[in-house]
Amino acid sequence: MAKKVTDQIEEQARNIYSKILKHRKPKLKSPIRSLQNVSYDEKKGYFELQGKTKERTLTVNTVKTFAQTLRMMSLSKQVVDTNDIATKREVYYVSKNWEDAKFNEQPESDTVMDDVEAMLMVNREQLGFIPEEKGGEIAGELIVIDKDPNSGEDIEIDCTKFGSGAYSIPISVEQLKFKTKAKFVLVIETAGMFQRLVKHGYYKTANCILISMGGVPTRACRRFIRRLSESMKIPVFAFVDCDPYGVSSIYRTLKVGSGNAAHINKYFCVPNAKFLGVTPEDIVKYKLPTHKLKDVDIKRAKDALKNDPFIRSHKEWKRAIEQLIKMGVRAEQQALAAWGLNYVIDKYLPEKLKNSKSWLP
Amino acid sequence: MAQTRLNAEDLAKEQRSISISEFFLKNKHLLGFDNPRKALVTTIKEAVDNSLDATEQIGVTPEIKIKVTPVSAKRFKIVVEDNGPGIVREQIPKIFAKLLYGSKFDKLKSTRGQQGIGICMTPDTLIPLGDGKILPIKEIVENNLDNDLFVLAPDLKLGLGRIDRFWKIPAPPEMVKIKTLGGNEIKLTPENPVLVRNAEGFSWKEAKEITKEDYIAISRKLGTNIKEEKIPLVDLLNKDTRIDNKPFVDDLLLKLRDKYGTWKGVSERFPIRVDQIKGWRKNNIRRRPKKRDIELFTKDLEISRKEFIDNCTRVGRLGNYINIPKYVSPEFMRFLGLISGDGHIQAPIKTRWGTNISFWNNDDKLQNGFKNLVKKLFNIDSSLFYHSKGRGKMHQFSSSLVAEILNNCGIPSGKKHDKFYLKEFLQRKDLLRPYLQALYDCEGSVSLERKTVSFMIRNKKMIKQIQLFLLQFGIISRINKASSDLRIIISSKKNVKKFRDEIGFTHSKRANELNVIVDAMKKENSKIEKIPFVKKQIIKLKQQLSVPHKEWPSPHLLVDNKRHTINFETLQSTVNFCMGKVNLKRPPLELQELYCILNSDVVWVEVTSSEIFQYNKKFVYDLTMKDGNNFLANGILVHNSASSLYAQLTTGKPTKITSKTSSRKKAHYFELHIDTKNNEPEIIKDLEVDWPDKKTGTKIEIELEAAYQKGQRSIDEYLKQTAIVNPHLYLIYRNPEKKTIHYPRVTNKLPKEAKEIKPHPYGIELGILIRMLKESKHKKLKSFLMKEFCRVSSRVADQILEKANLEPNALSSRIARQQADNVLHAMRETKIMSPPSDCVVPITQKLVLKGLKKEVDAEFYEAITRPPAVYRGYPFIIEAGIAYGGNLPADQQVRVLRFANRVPLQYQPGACAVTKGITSTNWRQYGLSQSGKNLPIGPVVILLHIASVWVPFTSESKEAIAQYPEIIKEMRLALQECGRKLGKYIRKKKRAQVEAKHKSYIQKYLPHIAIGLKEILTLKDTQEKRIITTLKKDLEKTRPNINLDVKDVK
Repeated sequence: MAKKVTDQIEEQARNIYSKILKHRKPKLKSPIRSLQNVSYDEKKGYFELQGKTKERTLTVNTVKTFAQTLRMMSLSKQVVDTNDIATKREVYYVSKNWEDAKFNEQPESDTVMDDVEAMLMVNREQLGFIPEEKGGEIAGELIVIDKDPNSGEDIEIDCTKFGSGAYSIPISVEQLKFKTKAKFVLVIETAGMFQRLVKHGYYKTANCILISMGGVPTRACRRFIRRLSESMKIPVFAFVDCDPYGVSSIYRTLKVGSGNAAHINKYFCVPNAKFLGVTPEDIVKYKLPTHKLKDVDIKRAKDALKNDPFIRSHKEWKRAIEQLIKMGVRAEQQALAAWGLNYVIDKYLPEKLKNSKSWLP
Repeated sequence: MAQTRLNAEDLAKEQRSISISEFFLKNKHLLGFDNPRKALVTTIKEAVDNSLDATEQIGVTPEIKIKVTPVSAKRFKIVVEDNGPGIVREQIPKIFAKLLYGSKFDKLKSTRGQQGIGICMTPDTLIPLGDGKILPIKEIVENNLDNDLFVLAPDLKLGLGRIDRFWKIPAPPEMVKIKTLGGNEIKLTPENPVLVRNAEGFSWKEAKEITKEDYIAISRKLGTNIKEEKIPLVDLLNKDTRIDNKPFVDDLLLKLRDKYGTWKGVSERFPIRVDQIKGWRKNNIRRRPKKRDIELFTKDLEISRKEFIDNCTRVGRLGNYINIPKYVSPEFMRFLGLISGDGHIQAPIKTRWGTNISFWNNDDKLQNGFKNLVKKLFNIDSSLFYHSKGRGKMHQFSSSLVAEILNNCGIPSGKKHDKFYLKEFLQRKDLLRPYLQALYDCEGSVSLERKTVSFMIRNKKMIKQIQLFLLQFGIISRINKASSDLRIIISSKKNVKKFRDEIGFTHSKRANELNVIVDAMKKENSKIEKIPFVKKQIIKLKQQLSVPHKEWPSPHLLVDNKRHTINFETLQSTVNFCMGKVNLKRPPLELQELYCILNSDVVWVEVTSSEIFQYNKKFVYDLTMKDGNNFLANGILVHNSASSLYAQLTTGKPTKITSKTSSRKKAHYFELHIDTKNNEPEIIKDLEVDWPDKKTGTKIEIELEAAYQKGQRSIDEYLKQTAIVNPHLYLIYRNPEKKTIHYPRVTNKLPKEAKEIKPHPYGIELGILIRMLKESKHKKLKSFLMKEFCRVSSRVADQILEKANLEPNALSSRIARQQADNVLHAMRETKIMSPPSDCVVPITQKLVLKGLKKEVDAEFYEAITRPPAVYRGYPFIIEAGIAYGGNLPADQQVRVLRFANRVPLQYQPGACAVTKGITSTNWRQYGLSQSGKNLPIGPVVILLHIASVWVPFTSESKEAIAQYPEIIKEMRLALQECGRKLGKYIRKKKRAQVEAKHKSYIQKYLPHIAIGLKEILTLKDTQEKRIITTLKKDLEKTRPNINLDVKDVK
């Protein structure tokens, strides 16, 4: 695999070089990374890239990014060749040595990195670049088998042995193996709710694995859950806030991936995840205290109805979001505390788990 | 071009005589606002404009040297030297006028300058003087009466102020008449500001802008400082009246003989015959000396005036003598009042002796009083007559001497009612009391029903006088007009009570009725004593004091309804209430304002009408006050004429003029000053001097009080702009900081001489038409139309006359006002060709461009001269110029240079058509930023010039061009034409900038592409270099080359 990336880089470079010598305009081609260029097939279960690509021809206007892309590719090749890694931030600092071609801010270098990634249809870890972000936290009936970074021996990590803390998903999860007898995985949006469930040993009573995403799940987190659920064949339930952000950004990214990383969604999504709650229906059923939807929320919801292929292909989701817009309110996970702090453990989750009709796809 | 060479004498012949008052008229507007900075600009401006006109007229390219030297902090010496034709001696006295009056406005020709209208009023406007007298302004001005007038101070209290100067000015064709609810009336020039209060508070508002929404200030009372000096009755006698006092005369004559030795000596000393003296010494009743003689004798003998008066108490003619009181007494004034009211003086008939004086009244008490008065005053018995047809009874006596005295007091003989007028020396509060009482006894009446005291009279002049007399007693009255009768009405308890206490009736019935109505009246104030527009202040006060609504003394006031007046008592109680609530050391501003209004010496009366009317008298008058800026006229507070260059010029230093009219003659040096008494200039020195190296020319030196400042409205800026639009001018300017600036000449070609044209019928106004009709040489109406106007052919004249329904042979001097108005309308309705445009001289596009290039440091220039257009029958040409970029500041509003007939305009840009023309043009499409309808922002100078035979200025101060749609449209078209070219340039420039940036990109980033490829493909250095060179060549091939060189217009 590693060999392949450097080959690709060299191939691209040679292509450019020969065009230059022939006085033809060199081009860089990469797929367009946005929701407009993805399709959703329920059977495949993830966002798939459509054919649209963008070509960057070397002109006076594009000369800067062109140069930066080439230098980024060169850097990637060096890192992979030396079997090293570089964080996104480190890449940004390396560029400071490129004089005129340096990046002024990290988002600039991230964009160019994403471009290279998409151009070569690989994920950035394959390019030798890694993110800084944390992957998410795990507690519950799971034993993760990892390798000791020094000795290379297998080590078993029991995720029930972290007390009131939790196991952190590492940045690279491809080498991990699992052992578990849990009946399901519960993926939770907020660290607060995760803490409550851990504290009260919910994973023991319900025999499950609890994962905290802390907002939109990172690639590593998504990949971890995917590998866990596929290799152990256990269902995944998502438990997030009932608002357009919770649905269209957090849950949808978890389940089918994002537009921006469409070229790698195949690996970085959890197609068999189910939306346990909080559903708009729950707001009515459990009489949850609500907040008014903000203008941005409404805009996001309408945008999802119109442009998000995932939402559009699920009648249930369409209906749910339309209901949400109509009610004009949103409810957080913690709103359940209105009926008692442990209402969520004692009443809500058991009820929801039993009633599969109350889930959303 | 064939230029006829004129010399100074020729010009002098042509020069219209300009009256000194016209000169003042112009000055005061130009400088009239106590702005010393403006004074400096104006003086130089007029001198330069004048020099330019003079040199152009004789066909010489002008060369003007200006030197401004500070004499002291506030005083400057200005020297302006030109190479014009020089001035001949006869013209010298007019130099001031010429200085500020370059043009000949009776012929339509585009030269510099224009006439204006003053801040003035009609001659009959009554002005109350500080000593209690009330005089028409005409008398004050024409006699230069040095007196105190009533002036309103900022605290709304009336005080006294001195008159500084007097104005008599040719009248404008239109004036404004303002009338109030109180019957006050005043006729002013449209520009004369009047103190008003309206929803916005106090302000000085020009008469023409006053509407019914305004309240104007009239005085509540007139304080008087009575001189206790008594008025000797003998002064009221004619000089040929004989004095019957033999012992006194004998005594005088003997003293004279002692002084001069013999009778002959006395006779030689005074032009009297000896036999005349001897006759006086005999006891012949017919031989008595005249008043004039006795006056001479007493003066010669240094006998006191008191002794003279004491001895002249028996006077008469032809042996008929009567007694007179020594001084004007209350009894005498009552007598005068009775005669003014119900009396009659027989018209003098030469064939008869004596003059009958009668008093007609049916009240016995008054009749007896009259009889007793006559006896007491003159020792004459009058006899009672009954009218033969039962029309009443009268007392009558005969004395031509008394009639003479009455005449001299202002009561004429014969039909007096529309003429009588109390002479000013009698207008003293102490004397007015018995006079008014008698007058009211005769003509006054009390209405029990309306609870008013009224006085009916047909004398329009007198009624205004009486109103002001009453004001001296603090009685506010109003004038009502009922058919031909005028009625002066006193209403409200306060005023009626004051009338009772101060004047009252002796007429028993009326005195009783007066008491009845005073007791019956509850309301203190009359309807004219309402206080307008104070609700806002009261509501604000209440908010500030946060007093509960219930506690407020007059909560109903706070309702914001349509009534904007409140009465005096309510305001008083409100103010008193507030005074108790606030910290009196720092009272709120609103309270201060209300307090001032409450305790002020003026009342605010509603304007009932304000209309413009055609005025056909010759002159209007005005005053300038030394202290304060206003005075009372017809009881109304009006703004005075501000001080002028005249004041500036009276720094005491004479104006020095050196003039050389021919290279063969010697130069003349004159010193000139203004005789402040006569308002006339005077040459005080005239010397022949050498002025070597000078062919012809004039040098003027003036010292004046002024201020020198730099910046937008400075003299520096004015001269710079003048140089721009006068490219044929060579100007050398040495500023007060001793820096010499040269404005070189860029062309030797003089501007084309303008042709004179007759006025076009579309541009004429009624007043001017009437004047033209009166003064025209062409007696018949048709030939008048054809000869006095341009573009009026025989056919057009016929059409006009037909529409006006007038005969072609009608005499133009006999055309009545209404007919003239018909002619005017007919002219407007007839289709008449536009006037010829060769009377308008543009600077020309080329020279505008040259001028701009010379004085504005920019990178792009464009100019345009529009074809001639017409507004209201006046042809005009608009020229525009634009300079862009270079060192001009990019982040500020564009600089606008406004010119009218090649004269820079520096003030009032907001009101000017130029500003309107610029802001109503969309500059965004030409690449400048512009928010809304504002001036655009960018490194731009915009020049706009209007050349016309008659530039329509918004006001007499010639600072802004009136916003005629035709003019604005032409300006916009000119600007758009320039703008399009500017836009093209700006876009091109922007493209060039982007291109330059792109090219630098290639330099910057290509090496990195090479480095990237080299690293990935491990290339050699030569290969790397090859990448760079190939790419560079290929990329640069694709870029356009933008050439920014702008075509240079030569």
